[in-house]
Amino acid sequence: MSVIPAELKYSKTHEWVKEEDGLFVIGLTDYAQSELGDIVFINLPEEGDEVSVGEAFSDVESVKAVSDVYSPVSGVVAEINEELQDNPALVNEDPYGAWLIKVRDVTEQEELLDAAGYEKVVAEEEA
Amino acid sequence: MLNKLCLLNTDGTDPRHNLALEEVLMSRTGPDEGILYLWQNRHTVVIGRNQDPYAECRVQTLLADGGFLVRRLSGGGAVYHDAGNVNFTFLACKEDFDVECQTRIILDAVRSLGIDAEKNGRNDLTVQGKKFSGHAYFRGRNVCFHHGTLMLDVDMTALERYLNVPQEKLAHKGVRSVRSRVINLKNLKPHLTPQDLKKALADAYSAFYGLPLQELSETELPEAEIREKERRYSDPGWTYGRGKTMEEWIEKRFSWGSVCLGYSVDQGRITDAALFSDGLSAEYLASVPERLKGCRMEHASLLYALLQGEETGPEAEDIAALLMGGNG
Repeated sequence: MSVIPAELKYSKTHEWVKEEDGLFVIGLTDYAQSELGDIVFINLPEEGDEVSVGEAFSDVESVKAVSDVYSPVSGVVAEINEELQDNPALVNEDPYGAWLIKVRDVTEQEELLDAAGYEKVVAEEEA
Repeated sequence: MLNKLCLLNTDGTDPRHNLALEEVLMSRTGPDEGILYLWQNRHTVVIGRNQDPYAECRVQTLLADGGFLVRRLSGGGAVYHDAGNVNFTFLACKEDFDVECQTRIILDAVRSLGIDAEKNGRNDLTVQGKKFSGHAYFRGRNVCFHHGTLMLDVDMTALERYLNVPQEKLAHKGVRSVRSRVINLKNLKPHLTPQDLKKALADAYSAFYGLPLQELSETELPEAEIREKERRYSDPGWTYGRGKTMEEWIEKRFSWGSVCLGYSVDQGRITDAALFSDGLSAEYLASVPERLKGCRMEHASLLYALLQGEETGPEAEDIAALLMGGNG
């Protein structure tokens, strides 16, 4: 059973989103990390890069596959979690602590789900 | 549930074109549809999505011999392809993508040729304990693919010439060479051809799902999209820079090694730079991008930035000249 904190918002493609000091913090959900398996590499954008709703901004290589990670918002990358470049396994250990990027100047966001809505998405995929 | 199976069998052997086709097929894989793509590359080292080309491959030797270096979308390790190797790609939407079934199909195909193959670990197929097939995976938003190699008659001398295998990896396993860990299927079935293998794969795919195969032709695929994807696989920024976006990339071989240098310029100053090289002065070469950032695009300034704190060495002068001469 994967962990889905009530206070976060979610995309259907398994990213979590949290608004914090005017920035949108984005990470991978517990379900995403368990589906991926042990993560060996994370490619992150650079500060100042633009991200767009529904477009890949990162890719994650696990022992199983390379998977694209999609942005739930459009805006500008304010900060990246550099710790992940040396230790990508942090996403497996603590998916809701190990954020990927923080986005500023958000102009658009996709329709995000609350925890209950996301739980349904996960239940459907597990079925 | 899959209810339609397609087959694309290509004759072209340019790896950039073949990888472009694989990506284009992703965009045309519909719901409930499976595609099997069979292809061969000539004289190519293919590196994984996140690998360092210079760590994996003797780039200079490969390019000097007229070979290709390309980076694929999927993860995993570097492989050598030539006309003695057959590649397969299974494409399907997430719901129908099943690595276990697809692996089964490859095993069925190889066994139908009288070869007693086994699955070994997550990504390899072996016969008599030696690997002949390595697999890797990519998951897009809707469509995923599972692709891999099948070694039929690969030139092992070339493979050892181009691929760097970390000595500790071999030593750790107590094995002396790559050659003793991999095997060509031709050693077991001397008359086996790539065509036989492709036919066995297509038959096993159709039989597994109990559906007929609809043959696709390359001409049905959108030409413009193929060209666009080919550009990605021809772009040194993708191959060497792992997707780093630079305005200009220059490749050149010097007496001290080969370099791939990327840079962006704004108002006469270098704003960003990246350098990949197999040169021996690794520490100095790693410092080059930082030296170049903010530097004016003129020979004296470049040389000053590149030489600062350095005793001698031809690298600084060569790199400065390279930047001033563009592709010359």
